Amino acid sequence: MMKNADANAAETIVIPTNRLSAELKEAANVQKVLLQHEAPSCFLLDCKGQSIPAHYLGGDYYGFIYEEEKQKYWVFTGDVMGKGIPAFAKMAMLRTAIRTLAPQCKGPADLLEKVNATLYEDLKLLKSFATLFCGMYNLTDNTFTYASAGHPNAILKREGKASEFLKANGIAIGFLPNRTYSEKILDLKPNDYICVFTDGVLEAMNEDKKQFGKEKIIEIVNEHSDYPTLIQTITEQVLTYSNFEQRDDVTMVTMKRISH
Amino acid sequence: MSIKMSDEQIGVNHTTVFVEGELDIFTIETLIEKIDRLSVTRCNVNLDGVTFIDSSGIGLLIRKVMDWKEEGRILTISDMQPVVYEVMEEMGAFIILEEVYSQ
Repeated sequence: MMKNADANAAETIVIPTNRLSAELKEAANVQKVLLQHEAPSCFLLDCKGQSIPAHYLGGDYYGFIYEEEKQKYWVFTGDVMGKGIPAFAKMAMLRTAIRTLAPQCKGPADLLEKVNATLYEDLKLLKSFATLFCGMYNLTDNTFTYASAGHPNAILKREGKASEFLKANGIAIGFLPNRTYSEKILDLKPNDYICVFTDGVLEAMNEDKKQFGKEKIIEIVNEHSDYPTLIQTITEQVLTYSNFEQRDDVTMVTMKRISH
Repeated sequence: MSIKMSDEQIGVNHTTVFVEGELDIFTIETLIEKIDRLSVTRCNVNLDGVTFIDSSGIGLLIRKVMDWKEEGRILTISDMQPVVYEVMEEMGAFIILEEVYSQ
C-alpha cells in the first residue's frame, strides 16, 4: 500500500537506535566485502590494497580486475565525495559501474569516459562527484597505461631510482557530460612499482594543522625497501602523524612487476 | 576547524565574499549557506585566506558555480593560495570552471 511522504517520514523517525546500529554494522560488513579482498593472483604482478574508513562507512574505493584471456590487469582507486552512509552508497555505485564497464573497454581513458557517462546524471542529481585513478597493465608487452579523473597523482618507483609522480590531467567524474580522458603509457620493468592513494593520505593533519603531504609519501617510498610492508608503513605513519584522529578515509593500492 | 567570512559590496548587484580558514566537508556548508542568502547577480569568492581545501570543498563550490550559471547569475572563485590552487588543479577544477563559464 502506498504511504504519503509524512507517513514515511514518521516511520523513519521511529526506527530504534539498536536496529540502526545493527544495520550500520551489516553495511560495514558489506563494505569489507566490496573493498578488502585479495588482489587476483598473477604470475607477473604483486598487487596489494587497503582502505581504512574514517567512520563505520566511507566513500573510498579500490579494486583489481584480471582479464587473463586478454592479458590485462586493471587497478582502480577512487574517492566519492562525502562521508558515512551516503558516500558508501555512492561508492557502491562507482564500483558497480567500473566492474561492469571495464571488460568492455580498450583502456583506462575509455573506461573513465564510460564511467562518467554512466554515472553523470545520478551524480548531478545527488550534487556529488568522484575522483578515480585507473591503471591497466598489459602482460603481453609489460606496459602500464593510466588515466585520472581528478584523482591525486600516483607514484612510480623504479628499482634503484628516486620515485616520481605520474602526472595526469582529467576532471572528476560527474561534473560534465560527454567527457573524454587522456591516458599515458610507460614500461614497467622488473621490481618497478606503482603506488596510488586517496587524498585522506595527503591531507592527514598534525596538531599544528600541517598536512602529511606529498613530500612525506615520496620520502617514505624512497627509503622503504620492503615492498610487502609499504602500505602498512605509510598507513602507520599517516595515522601517527595525525595522532590517530582520522578526518578522512585512508586508502592505498600498490602494483609491482615481479622479477623472474 | 572553522572558517571566517566577510563580504564587501562592489556595486548594486555585485559582491565579494572573503573566506579565511579551512574549507572541507564540515565547513563548506557555512560558505554555501552564505552564498545562498545573497541576492546579487554577481559574486566573487575570494579564497586568499583559505589555508586548506579538500575535494568536497572544491566539489560543492563548483556545484554552486553551476547552480548560479543555471540561474543566469555569475559566481567566480579567485585568489587561491598555491596549496589550494594545486589541489583544485589536480581535480580538474579549472577545466570544469572554464567550460561552465564559456557555456
